[in-house]
Amino acid sequence: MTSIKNIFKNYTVPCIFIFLGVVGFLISGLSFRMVLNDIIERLGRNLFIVLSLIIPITAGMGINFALTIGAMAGQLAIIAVVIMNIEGIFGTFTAFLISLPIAFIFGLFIGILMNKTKGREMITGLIAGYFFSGIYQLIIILIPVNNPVIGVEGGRGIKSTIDLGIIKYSLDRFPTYIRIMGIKIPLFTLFICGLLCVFIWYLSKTKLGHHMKITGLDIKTAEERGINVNRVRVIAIILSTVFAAWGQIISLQNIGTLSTFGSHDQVGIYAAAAILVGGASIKKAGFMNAIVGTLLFYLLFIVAPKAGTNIFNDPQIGEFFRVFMAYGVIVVALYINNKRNRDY
Amino acid sequence: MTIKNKKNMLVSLYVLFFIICIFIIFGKNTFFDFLNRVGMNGILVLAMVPSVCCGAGLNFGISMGILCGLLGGVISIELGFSGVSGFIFAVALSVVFSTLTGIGYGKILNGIKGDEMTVGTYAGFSAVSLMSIAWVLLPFKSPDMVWTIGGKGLRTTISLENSFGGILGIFGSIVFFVIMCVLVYLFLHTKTGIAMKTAGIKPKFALNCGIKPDKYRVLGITLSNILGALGILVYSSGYGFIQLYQSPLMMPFSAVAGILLGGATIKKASVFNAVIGVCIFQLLITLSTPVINSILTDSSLSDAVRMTISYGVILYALVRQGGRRLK
Amino acid sequence: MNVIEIKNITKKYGENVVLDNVSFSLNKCEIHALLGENGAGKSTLMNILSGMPVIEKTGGFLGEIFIEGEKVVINNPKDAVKYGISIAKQELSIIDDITVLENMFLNDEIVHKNSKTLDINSMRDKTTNIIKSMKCEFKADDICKNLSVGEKHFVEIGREIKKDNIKVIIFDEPTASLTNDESKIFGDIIRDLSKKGISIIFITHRLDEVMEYADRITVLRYGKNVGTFNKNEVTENELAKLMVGQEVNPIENYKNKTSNNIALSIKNLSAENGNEFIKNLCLDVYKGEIIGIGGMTGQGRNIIGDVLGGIINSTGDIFVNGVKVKNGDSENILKNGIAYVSSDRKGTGLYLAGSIYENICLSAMYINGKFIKKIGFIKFNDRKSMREYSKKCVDKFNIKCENINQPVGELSGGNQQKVCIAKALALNPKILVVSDVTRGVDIGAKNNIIDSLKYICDKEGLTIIMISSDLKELRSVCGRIAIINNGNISEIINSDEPSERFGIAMSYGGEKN
Repeated sequence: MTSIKNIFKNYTVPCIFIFLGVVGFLISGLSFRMVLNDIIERLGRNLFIVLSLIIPITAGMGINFALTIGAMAGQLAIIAVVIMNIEGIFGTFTAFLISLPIAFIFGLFIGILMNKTKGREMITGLIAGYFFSGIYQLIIILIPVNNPVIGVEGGRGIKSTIDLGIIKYSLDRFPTYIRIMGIKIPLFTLFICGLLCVFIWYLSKTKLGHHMKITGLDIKTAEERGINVNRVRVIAIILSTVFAAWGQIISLQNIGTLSTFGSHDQVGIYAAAAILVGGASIKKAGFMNAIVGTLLFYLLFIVAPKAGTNIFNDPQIGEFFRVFMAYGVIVVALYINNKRNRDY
Repeated sequence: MTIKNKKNMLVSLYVLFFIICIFIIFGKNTFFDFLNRVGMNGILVLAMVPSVCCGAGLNFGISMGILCGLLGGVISIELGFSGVSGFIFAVALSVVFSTLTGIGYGKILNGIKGDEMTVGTYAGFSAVSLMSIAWVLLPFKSPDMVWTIGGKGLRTTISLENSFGGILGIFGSIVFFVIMCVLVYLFLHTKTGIAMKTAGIKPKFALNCGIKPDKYRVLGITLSNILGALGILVYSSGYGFIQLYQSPLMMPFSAVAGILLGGATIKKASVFNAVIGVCIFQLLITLSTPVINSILTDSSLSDAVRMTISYGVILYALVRQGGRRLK
Repeated sequence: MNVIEIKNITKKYGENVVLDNVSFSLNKCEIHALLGENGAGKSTLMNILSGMPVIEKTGGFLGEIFIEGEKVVINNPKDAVKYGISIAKQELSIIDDITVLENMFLNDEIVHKNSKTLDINSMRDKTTNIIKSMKCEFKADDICKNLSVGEKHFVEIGREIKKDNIKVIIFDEPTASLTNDESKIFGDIIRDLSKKGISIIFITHRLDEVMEYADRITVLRYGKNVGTFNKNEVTENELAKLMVGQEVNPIENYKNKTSNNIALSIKNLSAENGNEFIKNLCLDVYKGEIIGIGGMTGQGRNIIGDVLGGIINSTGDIFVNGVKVKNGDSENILKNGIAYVSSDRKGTGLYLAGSIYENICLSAMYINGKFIKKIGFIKFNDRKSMREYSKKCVDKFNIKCENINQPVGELSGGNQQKVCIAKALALNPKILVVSDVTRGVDIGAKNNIIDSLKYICDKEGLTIIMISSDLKELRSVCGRIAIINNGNISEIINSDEPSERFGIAMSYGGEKN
């Protein structure tokens, strides 16, 4: 009995979400197979970007809410690919390539910003994300565009929705889909996520990764001992931003449509919620947290609207509820995390 | 005169100078527009002062207070009050709600010292989503407020023509704002107010003096919440509409930007910052609105521009403030 | 040839001359002690030698440094390392959550050539060798959180001695946080090092250590070098005189009147804070007495103040004149008449950005309702009365300041401490608890403070509990002294009893209850 109690104490948030997910699933009345299919697809879609949160957490910078800026870099790259009309998997990989320098520069800027606000990286990232988003939107509206595929009629602005048919599913079905017991598994996408996990693991074994961990544990002592904490932190954010850009590309190639104004909006929050649901804290995160968290969070995501309809006869309520849970879990996770590190 | 007072006087003179300029260049209408905006937004910015003073930082979770105010407002309309009595009833009710939620929220913030801003933002977002469910489910019946089709659930925008819209007028809202400013200023010089400020500046020292920092943080957040509720009622009254669902989502950022523009920092804010801040912010908007409207044909985008300016201001303040001393 | 020769170093912080034409030399294989009171300039001199950034930032220095005969320029820590100078400061530079070997190789890690990953095995082997050479008992894979403070210091020392081209190691107050046994180990280590050809400078103000370990001794006073001696050329008393520059008062025994009434009664008090704890402590304090609480650092003495002041929580009973107070509730404790002057002057005792009058009067305003103007039934604070009262305190305690509006952070340590005491006394307490009240305070202010405390106890019958690590001071002021060992009182000894009783009480006892 005590061990169950211990599990609950140490993994409160994931346990709550397992409970909610199961209850929600039962209420929603959806078929198990369908839900499983959906979850696997969501896993492929979102795992990469959730993984990109791990490095900054380890480096002591909390949750990188400026993820949205990386996502914007990815979106700009995708727009470029659409303009150049590159199809299939080449299109996706070209997008990876194009987004790399953009995300690098964005990441550099954000990293420098966060170095000036040590201790407040999360709120800085949040506000920076909104700020950039505002400027990005203005550019989208004002930029003169001639291309009929992406441009608004009238010559100014980019369309609010862009069809990504040319690269849709390009990663997921490369080389073909695998079906296990009738469930579609996007093997290649998951393989790429696996590559990221390997990279993160390898990084932790190098001097740089070790320094990141040290900086995260005790930045004052790290600096005293001569570790260039500013450099380490900037690198962490650059990596995170680049991975966020790629993660957004992966996500969009699965969705198939780019909503120019809104796609990047909730990315940071949902990714943060996912990793926190998986049991991570703002000081410590690993792959298991990312994987478990993505599964649990999106389980709730899938079952909530239908469950809401079944209880209240209003699907909107289900949607409000799942947004409420996403925000709420961040609050709960911060609360639990802080309680455990009571040395302030 | 101390250096601080001299600086304050200088800033006030600059701001006054600009206000007079508007009057002269743009004419009476723009000036009254400016005054109207100041009256509408002032208390929301003022709400930041108690929360910064008590040590909980900028109250990004003020959306909770705002929701309490909205709840008070719609209940007042539902019960059929109108005019001045409608407003007073709404105020009374929201004060009750915001006190209760303020105490609860304050206690939560005591548990996450150091992350108040992040938690506040997300707690606020959470609350807005939760209340969105409530707006749909709560059994309101007043035909002014519910959807005409279906008859259930509140509308997104509710007109205040028949209740307390415009009840204060420009002059009234400015007077109300000034009264609240004076009250907050006086409070900060009472024994309780000083205890709260001490708890905010240096909790350990306060503890050594016998002041319990946690208690006063809750007090500060509660006061902030109450002012938020009052603020939204004044705002809605001046605007003529109550806006529900997702509209309170981003309001905290404007209020935060407002007080930061007035010279406040994350650790220090005064009534003076609030007054100057709201003037500067609304000055910026009053002066830039015609400019923006001529570039962008879509006027709703001017809202987006205003928000972007707000975020830019907050970001600048965060960077200026620099890091927090870790450990 | 000298390993280090310093010629005519002068350093100013603004207008303040901290080092005045100081010359100094260090021989090879020598253990050299640098003695001086607070503010004498010892740390500044060592900061210059080790290239600390604070020196450059505040305008550099005048003078020359020679290493093995060659003139060198040391502008940053890297330069110092290049010339083989290493410094182990008093504050630990250890990260608790990682292992000993990770700390020893912090920013100096060994990496596999090909895969660029960390070579943990090599690091572990080297670390184990170093631990063995220091004759310590912890292991390379132990997590530093679980080590004692002394052991953590040894990890730091290990980090310095593993460097290859080390010529000089500077230790700043090395035994401040070490137990007796650990201090012995430290002594062995530096003797070992000096035999191996490494010169040692250690900064201290503990005369007994100096006489035990040093080959040569340099005394600094008010920024000047007032003498360098071989160990056998000088006595402890002579050194003490040189350090202080004035007549050192012999220890006077002070007897104050006490009554038979019990002012404070503690029963079964237990608390813990980090590594320190007290368990089931019982003590009765008589009205009007000055009772001392001493004992080795880390044995529990430091917590008692925070517990009595309500800063940390505790279980057990505390009675003031028969009334039970609420544990951990500083407001209740203050209202019941206990005022606490914390050892953490800058963190807990003062609000550094605030003015002198605010610091003195705030607590009394809040607890006793003093300095208040009532308008209607609202209580506003009365600045004028605060200022008047503070002016009286400044005169009474001889607080050196420009005016009472001055921020407390600008005052020197001794004057800051006086403000703390004034703050406590403004509350008109029945019992005053002071912890480490003269730590970091210059000798003039020290005497001031002690005299004031004695005076108030005499005149107003105030009961004083004095917690201190300085046994000599306790014996000169207190009637009885309770020695804390292992979390409990091992013995209560009258101050005029022979020193051996104190020594024994500090090493043994305290395991009852």
